[in-house]
Amino acid sequence: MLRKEFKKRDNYAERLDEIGFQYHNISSTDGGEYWTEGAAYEFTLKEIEEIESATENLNELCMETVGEIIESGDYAEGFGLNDESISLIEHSWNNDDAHIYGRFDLLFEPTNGAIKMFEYNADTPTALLESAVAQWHWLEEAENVPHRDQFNSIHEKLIARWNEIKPPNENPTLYVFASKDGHYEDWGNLEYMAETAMQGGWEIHVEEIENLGYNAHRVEFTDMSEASVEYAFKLYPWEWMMREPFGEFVIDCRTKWFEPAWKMLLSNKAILPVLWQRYTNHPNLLPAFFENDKPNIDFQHRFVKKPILGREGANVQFAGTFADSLISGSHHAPQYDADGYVYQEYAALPDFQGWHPVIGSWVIGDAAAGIGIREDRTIVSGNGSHFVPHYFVN
Amino acid sequence: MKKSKKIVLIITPVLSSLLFNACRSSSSYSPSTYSSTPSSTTRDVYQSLDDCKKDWGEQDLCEQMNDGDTDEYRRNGGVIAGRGFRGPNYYSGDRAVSYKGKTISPTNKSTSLKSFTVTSSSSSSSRSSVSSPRTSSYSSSSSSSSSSSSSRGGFGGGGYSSSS
Repeated sequence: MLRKEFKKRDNYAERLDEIGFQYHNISSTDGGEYWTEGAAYEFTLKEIEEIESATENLNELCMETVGEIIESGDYAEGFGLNDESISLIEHSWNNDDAHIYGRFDLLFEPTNGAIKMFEYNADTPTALLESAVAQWHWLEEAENVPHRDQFNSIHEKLIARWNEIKPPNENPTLYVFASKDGHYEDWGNLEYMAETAMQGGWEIHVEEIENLGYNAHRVEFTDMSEASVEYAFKLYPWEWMMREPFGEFVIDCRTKWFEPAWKMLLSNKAILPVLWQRYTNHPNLLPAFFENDKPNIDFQHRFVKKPILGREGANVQFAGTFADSLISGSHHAPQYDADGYVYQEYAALPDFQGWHPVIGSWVIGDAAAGIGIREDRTIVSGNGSHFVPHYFVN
Repeated sequence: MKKSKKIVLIITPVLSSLLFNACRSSSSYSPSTYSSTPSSTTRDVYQSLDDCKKDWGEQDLCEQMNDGDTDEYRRNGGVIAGRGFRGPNYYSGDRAVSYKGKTISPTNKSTSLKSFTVTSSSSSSSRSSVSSPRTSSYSSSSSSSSSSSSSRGGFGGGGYSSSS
């Protein structure tokens, strides 16, 4: 893995705008733009194959773990799930509710090839449009890119997945929801996902989730014209939905949700210690613990404390013997404090001339589909990081 | 090769227009024009975060303008040093927003600069910040629904970016 400089495409801003990536120039924390045009990460084919293999292995571990938690009914207290959420998780799993996608955030250590899972964004992962399309255009158009190949079949796999799970002999309508309060990025990701579903054979209806209706008489969710919402994709977290007024109605309504409710187990960072308990010393996992079973040692700066339902790198702290300290690049968001924290062994990101890249490895269905890389000057990646394209050579 | 995508993404150059047409033809709205009732919304501009916070009372309702916003603001006659801050969207003529179930009106404890008016077709107005127009706030069944109609607004109170 190397970080290399490239000449910027003259028209790159227009090319990014054309695909609906209008947020490419949003300011990052360091003042630069979100999309990095003048650099890319180079991998070898062997490295890519290792990332692909690790991603599919991690997905298998996650799916096995969800199945066994549900079968045993042994929900760790650290998940913070209430009875309604557990019922919904079980209902969706036992119904075989289909999943579309997820993104593992991985450490790739170039000196020894180690690949470690930081977390799994299993419910509302973003950076999809830039991973699937923007970096592919860069690969095709940038000058002097050797080999011109990329670990990226996200677009095709999304279309195929939507088509695969489409009800047979139907031309169903997929309602695609995000919050009107969502940022540019949320809507850019949503529109792209809608595009892939449309190409997968679905009729699309994009809507603000605030406009979703609940008809108590019919016991179903409805659109603005009172039509039934049978299939819904949402870029809106399950844990928020379950705390809001309509959350209690989800289980009784026939709406099929993407991602399904059982993803609540995987998008919660409580899955990290659960995975470590089940697969201790797995090469792609970092040691992780709940508050009540963290190692009784001086772990100053050896463990990172993460909120179980945090987003965008918020509230990530070094766990100290006497006090915790927010890690460079993180920020404190009080809304994530209440649900609790887990501890994960600190693993330093590699350093490429001061840039620290995190690999976002996409799973579509159950297949590894490609990667997108975000980098930052800090050691926690968040909303202010940069997206950098990649390619690989033989 | 399994890893690569050696085909042309035939849809992507027209992705936005395809989606736009698809949504229109299926009687849905376009995401780029999804504001429901009003024709325009307004955002107040402040020189500092502190000014914005004093006016709206909630830091979460304020966000720093990016370079593009700042340029656009200046092109429309606004005067500001550096990158300023914006308050939430509100419908022109109705200077209040719904936030976490509460209606919030500015306190006028600080002075905003020239305000920033955007039409409903501008994505920059309706997709950023945490504001929510009052007309879309949650309607409970007791006030807005009968046995044959739906209540709305029961999802969407998160108030933060959903992305991860």
